[in-house]
Amino acid sequence: MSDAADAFLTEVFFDSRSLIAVRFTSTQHVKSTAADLTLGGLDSAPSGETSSDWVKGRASDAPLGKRRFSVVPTIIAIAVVGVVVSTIAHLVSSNSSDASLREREAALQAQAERVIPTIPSPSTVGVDGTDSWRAGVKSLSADFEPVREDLRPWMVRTLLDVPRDVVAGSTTPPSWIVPSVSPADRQAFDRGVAMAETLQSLGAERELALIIDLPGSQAVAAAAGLASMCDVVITVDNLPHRSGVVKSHETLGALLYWRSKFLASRKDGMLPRPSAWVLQGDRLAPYANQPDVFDNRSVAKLPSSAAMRGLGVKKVLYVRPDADKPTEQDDLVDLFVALEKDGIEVRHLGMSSVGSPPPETYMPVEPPAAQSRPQSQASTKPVGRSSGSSWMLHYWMYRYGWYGGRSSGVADTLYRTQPRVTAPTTGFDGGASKRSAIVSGLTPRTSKPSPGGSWGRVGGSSGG
Amino acid sequence: MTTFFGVQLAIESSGQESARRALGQVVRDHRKAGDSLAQRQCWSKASALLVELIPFARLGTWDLIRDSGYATYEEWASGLESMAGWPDADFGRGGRLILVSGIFLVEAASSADVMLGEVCDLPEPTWHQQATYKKLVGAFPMLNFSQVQGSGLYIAPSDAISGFSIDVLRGEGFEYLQDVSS
Repeated sequence: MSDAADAFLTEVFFDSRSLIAVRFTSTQHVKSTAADLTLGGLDSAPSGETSSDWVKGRASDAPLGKRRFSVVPTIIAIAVVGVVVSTIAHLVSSNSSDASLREREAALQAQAERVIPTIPSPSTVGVDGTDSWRAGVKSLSADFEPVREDLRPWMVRTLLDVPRDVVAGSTTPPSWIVPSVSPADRQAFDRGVAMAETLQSLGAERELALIIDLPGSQAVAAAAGLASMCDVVITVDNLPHRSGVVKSHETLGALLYWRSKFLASRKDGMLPRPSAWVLQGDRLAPYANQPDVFDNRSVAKLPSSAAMRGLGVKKVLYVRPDADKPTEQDDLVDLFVALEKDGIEVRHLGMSSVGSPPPETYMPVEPPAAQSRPQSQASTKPVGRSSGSSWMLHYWMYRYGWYGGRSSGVADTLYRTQPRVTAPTTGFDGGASKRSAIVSGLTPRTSKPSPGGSWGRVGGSSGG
Repeated sequence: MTTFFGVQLAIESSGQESARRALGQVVRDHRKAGDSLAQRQCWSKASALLVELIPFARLGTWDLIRDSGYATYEEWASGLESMAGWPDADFGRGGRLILVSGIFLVEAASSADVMLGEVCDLPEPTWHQQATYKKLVGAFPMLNFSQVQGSGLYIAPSDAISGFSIDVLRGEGFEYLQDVSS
């Protein structure tokens, strides 16, 4: 061993009411840490100490890092990181163990990629302008349970149950469990409202099922717009994770944001309304076994053709993002082929066409169903503001040949799913096989549970 | 590759205030780390104090983890350090228990690793006996510190707070702690 290998740095030092602690790191093994030094969250050095005596690595400010330092005034860290980096680099022994360094780098990387998701468009309030969403953190599954009993078994609770499990025993949800809404979500909501208006005027009932296959938060927003007219079934089967292939944490934020819209619509749940099935649109997102990415992909969980028929469905409107690019995701091919085979029509709607200017050839036609719609439906008012674009769905419905119209038209309406070979989806469990670890990792640790519990222990103890 | 070794004890501090204060002073005295010699001095003092306190240990746990040593070390460290933000109320009412933890990260297959393997090679029924914890704690200063990549000594709470209540340490988040038998 060289002399340098015999030196230690103080990585952290605590002297607070709740904790007295010191942690040392051998300079032999700080090479990889040095590059990760950060000024984030640094506090002033204590009286009588020179700043260069104290080093804090990135690991301590990793996504969960606030728990460690934010409330501790005596936490010390270096102010002139560059100086220390160079000092450390000088001290690093030339005979450092490469395997150890790699392991440390891998662990640091893993720590930086902890499970806590980042919410891109957080909001302190829900769509109702209040913080009533907080009441839903522990009750999302119940809040989103379809009023129609025959739809309930089809709701997928994987994502909906996560907040409840994460905040169990705590009064304050962690910072990532917040409402979120993006401009694209608001647009999707407006389009959902427009579609609801049209469905109402067409007199659509249980014979119609909408399968909303959009990016998760937009699918939720669109469903919120539709909720006044549809029974919504959430089928998102992806655990949230900061580095997840599937961005289901954004979907969770949308569920919290739009929750009050869904709750307001529940009173109409016993009406014979269409069903709207919310899919996580990026559930099959590309993944190439990257070690720093969590595989939370899933396949759509929808009723079989026979089950659809049992639910009274005779028409399926598949709502995907873009107009005139008709295709379905791989996991829906077999279902759509079976539905068509069983006489349940499947038609496509590009969401982007809702709200687009009408084509010059468009000739408005009074929808016949509007004149005969049930009285119960007549009093059902869509929640939210109208985008004024409901003409578009009329247009499409007539193109589809549904509700008294005749089938004709463009790519979306003419497209029919054909059997095809699809990529294998074996093992796409949404991350369920690691649920315990994920939920544990998502659990707040600023108070309880800690120290130990979810963080430290695997089975209590083990002998050598 | 690295090996993790960690010991955690919940010790009844009533009547042991001086030892409790001395442990805290060990941390403060050695916060500037230094070299292997300073490390050994630090851990020798801590070990001696802990050995004296073993008869008052109510709960404990320990681990020797090979292969994934670094990850486990960081996991323990980050979890323990999160206690720095605990409000007084989280320690429960009327408790006098302190939680003392020592953690080490050593080079795999080094003499320090081999020594730890020998110390921890114990029949399972004895894992949580006082004698075992004395042996484990007594091993701290026996390590070859030139082969120790990292170490940490944690005492929670400080003597500004009376201590953990037993209910807290038998509750959520501490399910792993076992009764220490004589």
